[in-house]
Amino acid sequence: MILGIAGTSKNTGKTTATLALLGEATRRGLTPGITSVGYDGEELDNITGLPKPRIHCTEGTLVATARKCLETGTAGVDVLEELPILTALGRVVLGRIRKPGLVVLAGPGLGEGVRRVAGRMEALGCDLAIVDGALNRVVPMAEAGGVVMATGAARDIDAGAVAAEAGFIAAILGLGTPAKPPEVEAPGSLLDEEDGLSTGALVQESRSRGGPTSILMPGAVGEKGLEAFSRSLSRPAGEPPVRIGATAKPAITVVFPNPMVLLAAGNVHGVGRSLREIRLAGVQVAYLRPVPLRAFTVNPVYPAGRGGREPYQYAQVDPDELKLRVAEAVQGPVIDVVRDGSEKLYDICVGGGRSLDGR
Amino acid sequence: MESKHIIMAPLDPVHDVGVRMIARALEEGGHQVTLLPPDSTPEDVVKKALAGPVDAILVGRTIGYGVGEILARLADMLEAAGLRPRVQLAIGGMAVKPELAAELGYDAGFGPGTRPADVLAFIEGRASVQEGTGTRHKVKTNSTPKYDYRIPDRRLESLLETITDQVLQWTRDRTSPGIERARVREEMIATPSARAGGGGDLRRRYAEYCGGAAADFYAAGTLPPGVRPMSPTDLEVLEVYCEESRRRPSVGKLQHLEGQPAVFVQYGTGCPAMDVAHIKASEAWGADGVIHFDPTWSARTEGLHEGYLTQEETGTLYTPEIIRLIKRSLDPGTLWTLRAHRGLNTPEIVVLAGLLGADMVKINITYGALSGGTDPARLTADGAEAIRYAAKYNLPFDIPVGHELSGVPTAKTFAGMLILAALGLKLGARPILNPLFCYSPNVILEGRMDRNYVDYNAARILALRRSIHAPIRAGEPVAFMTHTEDRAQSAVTTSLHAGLAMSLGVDAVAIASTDEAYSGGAISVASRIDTLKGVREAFRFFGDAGVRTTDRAEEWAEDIFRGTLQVLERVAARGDFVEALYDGLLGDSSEGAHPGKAGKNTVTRIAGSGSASSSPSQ
Repeated sequence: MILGIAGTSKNTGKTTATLALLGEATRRGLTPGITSVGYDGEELDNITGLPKPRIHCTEGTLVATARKCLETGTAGVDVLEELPILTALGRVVLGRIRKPGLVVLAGPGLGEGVRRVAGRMEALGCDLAIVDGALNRVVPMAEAGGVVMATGAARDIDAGAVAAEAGFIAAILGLGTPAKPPEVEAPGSLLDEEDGLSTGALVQESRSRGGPTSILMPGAVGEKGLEAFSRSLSRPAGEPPVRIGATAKPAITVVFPNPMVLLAAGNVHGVGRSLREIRLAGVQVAYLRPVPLRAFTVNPVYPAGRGGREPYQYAQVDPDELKLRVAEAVQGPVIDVVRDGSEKLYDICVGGGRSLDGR
Repeated sequence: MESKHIIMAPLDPVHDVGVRMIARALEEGGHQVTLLPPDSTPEDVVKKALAGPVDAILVGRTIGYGVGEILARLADMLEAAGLRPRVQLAIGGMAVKPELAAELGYDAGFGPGTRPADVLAFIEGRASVQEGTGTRHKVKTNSTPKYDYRIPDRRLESLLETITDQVLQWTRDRTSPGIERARVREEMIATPSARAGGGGDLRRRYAEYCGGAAADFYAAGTLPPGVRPMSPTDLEVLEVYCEESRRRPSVGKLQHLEGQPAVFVQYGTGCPAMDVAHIKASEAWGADGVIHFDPTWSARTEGLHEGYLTQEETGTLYTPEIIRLIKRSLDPGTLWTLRAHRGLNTPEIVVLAGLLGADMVKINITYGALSGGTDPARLTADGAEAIRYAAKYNLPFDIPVGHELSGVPTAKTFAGMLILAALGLKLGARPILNPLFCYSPNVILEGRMDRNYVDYNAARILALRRSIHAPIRAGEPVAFMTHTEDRAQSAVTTSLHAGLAMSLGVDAVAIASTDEAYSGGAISVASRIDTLKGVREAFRFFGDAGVRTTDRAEEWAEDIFRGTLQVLERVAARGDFVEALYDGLLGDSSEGAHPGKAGKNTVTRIAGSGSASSSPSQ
């Protein structure tokens, strides 16, 4: 199983969640594997200069990282194979921890690489491949069998804003597969207004003349493109709004490759609102490959200061309020990893816990 | 190389200067660049990339909090659009490091110090970018073939002819323990069993010509105080260090324009391991060459060149083991000079240099005999032999005039330097003139640097140019005696002297670290980097412009030239170069020059050619 740890921004607690899951898997006698879609395990943050959680691995853990990073860590690693994956720090190798210690991870930056790493790890007996995210990157996580979303005060010190965004993320990740596979592919992408309006016109036309009812949206999506697309689907004058989830006449579904494409489109609030408009216009939204949301984690600690002359320093918001507000918004499990513990996180995310969308 | 389609996007509101510079270099490299306007969004970039052929996307952005997320979103959108991994993605900016590029999921990151050529290499997939950033492959430059060694002044030419004939005549039937050891050393290096510490016969023969501490070493295995063999752990750790250095090649460049001087630094901490660290740092910060300094006591000891020895005092011992060890650590493009000029082991050091891969040596009879502590007769015999080896092993040799630092006037030091140069030419070697380029006692006494440091240093170079068409390395080091404990001051004065030398068109300069005169022990790597960085700035600052001298530079050049001729006239008239040295014609005790005593009475006539000792009894 591949579990992705994504986040809404830097410093939201991705690595803390990763370490908790790694430790728990080991404690339960399993063989975990770990990699990163970015760069993790460094002593100081590349932007804020603040200390970061280091990645400690125990014997037997599988790691995928740029060969150069093995020299930086303290763990003894037996390199098993070199993978055809390049990073800015060189080629990625797959190894097994021989002597416990710290590792620095620079892994595959693309989904294709994540799939390859996880495949090799599984072949080597890995029970759980954990993919640590980078900043707000989500697209490589499309390859995961489940995702943990980390958010917190580093995203915004207003708990209400964090919760609202988390609600939209949960809604986007909560959509499923289409009732029938796509029959046609929309030409082009949904990046800007022009794209959105032209694609919207095509869908409207198909709807009005009884054309295909399941349409694949293959390209990149931008917040503005999606917004224009939603506008162009506005219901014909005089027709009542469609109840979300109800079958419209004629029923039509737009199918995106995966939910990560929508999460990467821009401001999640805007994306969420557009999706709501699309569905209100009687158009279903689905994914070729959904990624189940296992849980949200919340981190009340954030780097205060905005650079310049003053160095950043860690500060904290009210952890109870943050957790409560996010839980209300996402209607599913929310964990403060430091306070709730790794066992709970593991049970919910891996050990048979119910995922948010019930799968 | 196939032409690539590149989209360049400044994601900053205004900062697109760097992006435009890189764009120009890529276009000059034959690629097609689409430059987006400043303040472009990730959507703009993706849209453009989808609209036409694209092989690479380069974005420029100042990094601050919240910016990482924008850059990461671009990586995500490009992947979602199906453009990755077919399209290369890189970021440039002042705070960009390879680690940040990896974190963002980009293929490369270009930070401060990136040259357009580095980006071009990345686009063309030529070298691993991160290993290549700001680095280059150095090629050794030999400046001597550019010069024909013509001596334009007939009088000077004739005087040098006369004096060098005297030297050759005098040395023709003489030998010394130093000369004999050099011969045995050649055989030892050619004989593998001797190399491994065996070769009993050769080693016994070699020991016969040793004296003092070296004789004790060969007889009883004892080492002088403060000297010890490096432990196996020392060597193992050093080997790992060298290996790692090789795997992470990082060689900087100081010259801004072709033809600017090569820059040499000196090393010789006493500890070969520390020397290697200094060499690697110097290479990384752009030094073109390194000069090995040996200990003073070793120059006065007959022999003792064996094993991995480390010592407490300044100066690193010459042994085949240490020379090989340092050779292994050097970047292939680094010019390597061994100082051989002033002691009892001069010919043997040139043999070691020639057989073990050094590029140059330093030899000067007058300096070593008048201020280096070696007997003039002995160093004349050994010096001529050393030059023969330099010719045999094709090693250019430079002629330092450190005795000017003792107070010997420039005209006398230059006379000695020109004699050695002419002797070298006569013996088939290629000399390099190595004048001081600093504030020396004679200059202080004569007040010739009261108004500026420029004119007299320029006069030195102009006087040499008038004398012989030969390569010049200024030093040694430049700016000596103008340093203080203040590192900034020392770096500035070194840089300005290097800039002046560059402006005068010299082939090379040797520079010191900023704490060389005041470290009170081994110098620090940081202070070494100070002057290397300073010199790079000076080369950049002056470029192909120059420094203006006053009329005094020409006047003083004329003074030095005429003075040199007068000195040579007296030496020629003396009829015996060795006697001229003892007599002070090339520097006397009132000028701080004292004929050395080491090796006195050790020069012998070759059997059948007369008296046993040729050193005058003075």
